[in-house]
Amino acid sequence: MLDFGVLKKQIDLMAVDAKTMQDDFFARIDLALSEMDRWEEPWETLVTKIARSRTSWLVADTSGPFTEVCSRPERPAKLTVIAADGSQIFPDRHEIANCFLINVGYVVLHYGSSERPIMSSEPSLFYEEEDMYHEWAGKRSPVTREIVGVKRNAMELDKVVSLAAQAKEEGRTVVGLTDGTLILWMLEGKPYDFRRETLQTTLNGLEQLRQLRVPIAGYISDPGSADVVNGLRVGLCPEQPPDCDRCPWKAAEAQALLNLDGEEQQPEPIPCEPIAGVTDDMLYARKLKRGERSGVFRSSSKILEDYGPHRICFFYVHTGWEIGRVEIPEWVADDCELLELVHITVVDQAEKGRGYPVVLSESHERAVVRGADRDIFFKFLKDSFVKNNVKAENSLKQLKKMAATV
Amino acid sequence: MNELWNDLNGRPIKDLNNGQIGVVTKGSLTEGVEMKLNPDRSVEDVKAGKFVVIEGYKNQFFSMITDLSLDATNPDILLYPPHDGDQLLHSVLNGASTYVTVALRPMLMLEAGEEVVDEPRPVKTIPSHFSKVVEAEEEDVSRVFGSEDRDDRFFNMGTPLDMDTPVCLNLNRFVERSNGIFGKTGTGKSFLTRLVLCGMIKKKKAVNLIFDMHNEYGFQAMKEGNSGDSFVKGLKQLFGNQVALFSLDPASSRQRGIQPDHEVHIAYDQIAVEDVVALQDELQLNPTASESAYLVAAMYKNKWLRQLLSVEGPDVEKFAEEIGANKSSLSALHRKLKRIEGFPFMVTKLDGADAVDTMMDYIERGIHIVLEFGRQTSMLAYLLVANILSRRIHEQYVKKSEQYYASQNPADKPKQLVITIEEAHKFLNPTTAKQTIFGTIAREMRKYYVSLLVVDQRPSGIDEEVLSQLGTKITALLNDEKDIQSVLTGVSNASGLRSVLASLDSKQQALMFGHAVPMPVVIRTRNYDEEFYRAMGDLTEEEKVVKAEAASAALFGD
Amino acid sequence: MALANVDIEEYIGEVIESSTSQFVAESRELNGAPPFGAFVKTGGVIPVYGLVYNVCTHSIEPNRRATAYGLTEQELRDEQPQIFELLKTEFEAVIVGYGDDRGPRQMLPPQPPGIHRFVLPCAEFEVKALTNNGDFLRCVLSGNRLPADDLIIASVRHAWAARAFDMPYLVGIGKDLCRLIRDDYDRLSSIMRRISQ
Repeated sequence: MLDFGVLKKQIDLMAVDAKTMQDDFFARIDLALSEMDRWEEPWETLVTKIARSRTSWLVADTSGPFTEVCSRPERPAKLTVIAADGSQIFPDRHEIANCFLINVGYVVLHYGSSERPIMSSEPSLFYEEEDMYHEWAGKRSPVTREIVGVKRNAMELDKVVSLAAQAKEEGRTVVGLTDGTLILWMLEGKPYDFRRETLQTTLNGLEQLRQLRVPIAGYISDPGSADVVNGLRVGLCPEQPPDCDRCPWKAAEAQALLNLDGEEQQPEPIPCEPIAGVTDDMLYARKLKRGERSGVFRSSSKILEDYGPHRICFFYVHTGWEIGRVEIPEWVADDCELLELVHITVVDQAEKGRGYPVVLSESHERAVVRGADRDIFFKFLKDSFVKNNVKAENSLKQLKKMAATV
Repeated sequence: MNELWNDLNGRPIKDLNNGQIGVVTKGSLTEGVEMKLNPDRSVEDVKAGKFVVIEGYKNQFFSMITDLSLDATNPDILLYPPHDGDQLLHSVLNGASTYVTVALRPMLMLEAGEEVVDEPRPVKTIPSHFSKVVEAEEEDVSRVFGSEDRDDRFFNMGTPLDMDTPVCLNLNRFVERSNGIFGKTGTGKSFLTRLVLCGMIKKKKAVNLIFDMHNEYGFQAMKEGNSGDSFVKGLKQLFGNQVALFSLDPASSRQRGIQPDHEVHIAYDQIAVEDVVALQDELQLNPTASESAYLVAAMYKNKWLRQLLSVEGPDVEKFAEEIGANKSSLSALHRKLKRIEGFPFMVTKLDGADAVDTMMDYIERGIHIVLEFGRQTSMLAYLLVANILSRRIHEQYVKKSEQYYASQNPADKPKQLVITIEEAHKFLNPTTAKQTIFGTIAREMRKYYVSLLVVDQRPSGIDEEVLSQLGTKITALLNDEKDIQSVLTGVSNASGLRSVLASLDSKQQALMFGHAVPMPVVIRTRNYDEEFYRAMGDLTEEEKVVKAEAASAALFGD
Repeated sequence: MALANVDIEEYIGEVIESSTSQFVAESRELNGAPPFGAFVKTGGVIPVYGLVYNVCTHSIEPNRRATAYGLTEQELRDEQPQIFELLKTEFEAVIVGYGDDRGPRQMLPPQPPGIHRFVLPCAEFEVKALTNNGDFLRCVLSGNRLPADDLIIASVRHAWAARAFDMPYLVGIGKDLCRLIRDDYDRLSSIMRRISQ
């Protein structure tokens, strides 16, 4: 039994509250925008400040004012866009075999020439010892989902590279896109060998692309990043240099919280707080018109120190449907032609795909293994084992027993 | 394998049909048989009266087309008929949804290979479903009707509708009975009569005595034609010495360039009461008047007429009292019989041979007689003379026949005599039929070797009994329902023939049925022309010379 | 005798579903199916003859539907080439006969055509053999879910064309049809009118 009388009042209050929050939020964005404009002239000052500060969040580095906006360039009449996506079937304990499946879907779309595209997928089944178990820092352990994911990313990049090479040989103008970030966040804090091995594969791929002069970009839809806003927050901080670990306002707040006895004294608000919560896409939604992009920023992610010439930069772009974040290696950012190519490709692709780059959605379709296919895959496995007279359960136990030895 | 490919190779399989016009779909013995016309035949090509053959399983049914009707399987078609330009729909519907039903009357049934015998069997059964119906061919016609080549008794009367094969009359059977030639005015009865007469003369089947009321048969006669009038040859011209011309009006004959072989005169004494009684309709004598005549004759025997006519004025009444007759009746009788005196051929006393005796003489020798009436074309004259002469000849014939029956000597056998009379309804109407000699002759059939050939345009005026005695009837177009009905009295399967009769052409077409043909048949009558003359043996001068030379060469060798 | 030598180069479709009375084929080229009412055959030693009664084009995946782009075909090929990979054209045919060593037979085959057999257009002589009389119309009229009248019109037009528009043939077929549709005069005249247009 629900007392709607009482509840209704509460819902109404919630709505009012939400509105207030919304209004409050719009105020925040306005503030962020005005901050951005404030730093248009003295942008170098801000950049210097950012370089000297120590923050608990990622801050964008830039070589131009934050307010920089680039208009939509011309797309070459003939263009080839390549993308690869992968999906995996990772076994759990209910399944028979000790193996995993990675399915790489890849798409090569030729524009302006009426040629038929390449749209296909390639499954790979991993079951060998070295695939199922990894040894790092002397430890041998079965692979995890995360590790399979990493392998998958590598295979995706690999595929893009080989397709790009092929296309380049045919004399085409090529751009590669991937879904999601190019920054390997998950490597932070991982064992050195693992980090090195994974990075090596990735950087090899990027290097090949650089050699081919094929730009690669990662498209992130609905980005929640706030690198640029964080940069503006630094601008708001009165400390010189700003150091979040030693933030006096935070300390005061903490103190106030600990003050169990005594007056209810409101601590002073943290100066960078008013624009906290605003994300870059909200900011740029106000700033960019359809087809325009922001200036290029450098990410301050730690892992990027290992990237060398392939250090990842990013920009925001208004696709017409959303603000997307596009990540590119530095060698693309520094090359005007390639940068422009990436810019227009993303915009064009998003238009064609009615909101999301079509090449990415198609390669995703190619990669994804749907329910029915999953079932058939497992059935094949089972039938195959039966045919070859392998006693399923026993073999599994045996393998595990063997693995247990050190 | 190749044959199959060829068969299947594109063309819808069609029969070559071979003259097939349809298949039997329905029917009964009493009502006749129905056939569905093949779609590739136009209904307009199929005519009533056409002669066809139904090929049954075991028998062939020789049939006549009696009716045609149009049908449709779906009444909607008739409500929304295909319009003029839609030839395709027309063709599609033809024969499938719209079709023609032809009513056939099987008239004669023969087993395959069987020939027609003199007594054809009636049709006892009907053909099975889907029996093929084909157009009659030459062999069929000659098989059924015979051909002149095969046998002497067959005489070519004409051809069936839309065919060229001759249809023959069986003359032997023709002369066995009395026969009739009918048709409304202008339909060519005279030609038909001439044909039949020529046939009998040429094939020597009977001796003919023709009472030629309109002077048509003896010598040449006028013929109506598109290119003006022309003349056709008469019997005398065609057959020369085989035909004798007698004339009642020699002056008229001579004026027309004919020299009659004999002049006919009749003496008053030769007229019997029966002869006058036969005239009672014509003279409008009431029965009492006839009785009066008898009373006169009772007293004066064969001089009765002379006696009666010699009385004049008031003496007639006195005369009546004398003989005990009714005064007014006798007066009427007297008055009316006076007309006879007017006839130039009436004589008080015969000068020369008796006409009848001469006729009998000729007849015995097998010579045919045509009696012309010249200008004496009044009905009274015709009736009187025909009656008198025929009665007397008949008397002679009865005597001779009885003699023959007694002796059984073939030499005594009288020659079959056919008497031709026109305007037959005057002689043979229900009243007079019982009283005139012609009625008697008709009823006696061939007992005494005399038969009639009646020619008439009003068969409904003829006594029914007489009509039913006629063996063969040859009928040209008749319109009047009553006439049609009369002609078909006593005929089996008459219903089919009715429509056929009504659909005959007004010229040169006739329906023959009866004793002398195995089955009723519609013919286009043979042309009465040069070719016919030649066929009858009348050759041109050159031909005669050639023939004579050939004959002499054959006889004497060269 | 070798029947219907399959020339792989000329095939127009591939069987993807098959039954005794019908088969479905995917056409080789998008929008390249044989026309409605055309006669086709499957390859192999025993060719099966069919009459096309439905052609449809749709997305290869059931959960993805085509949407309008407002571009011409050429523009689409230039700027959205992937959509052509995601569409396919299929055609369905009602079986009207099969061939044995004696030639085309107008009856249902003993076995349905094999899946993945190639489909080719029928040669002119085969069309003639199959449409020799109105029996093939019976297949059309007795089939279910067939657009009977339109299929009759289209197939008869093909058969007629194979005979160089010989009018007596058309009349003959018209009579067969008339009998088969039991004198539905209205229907008959509508069909005949449209055939001969």
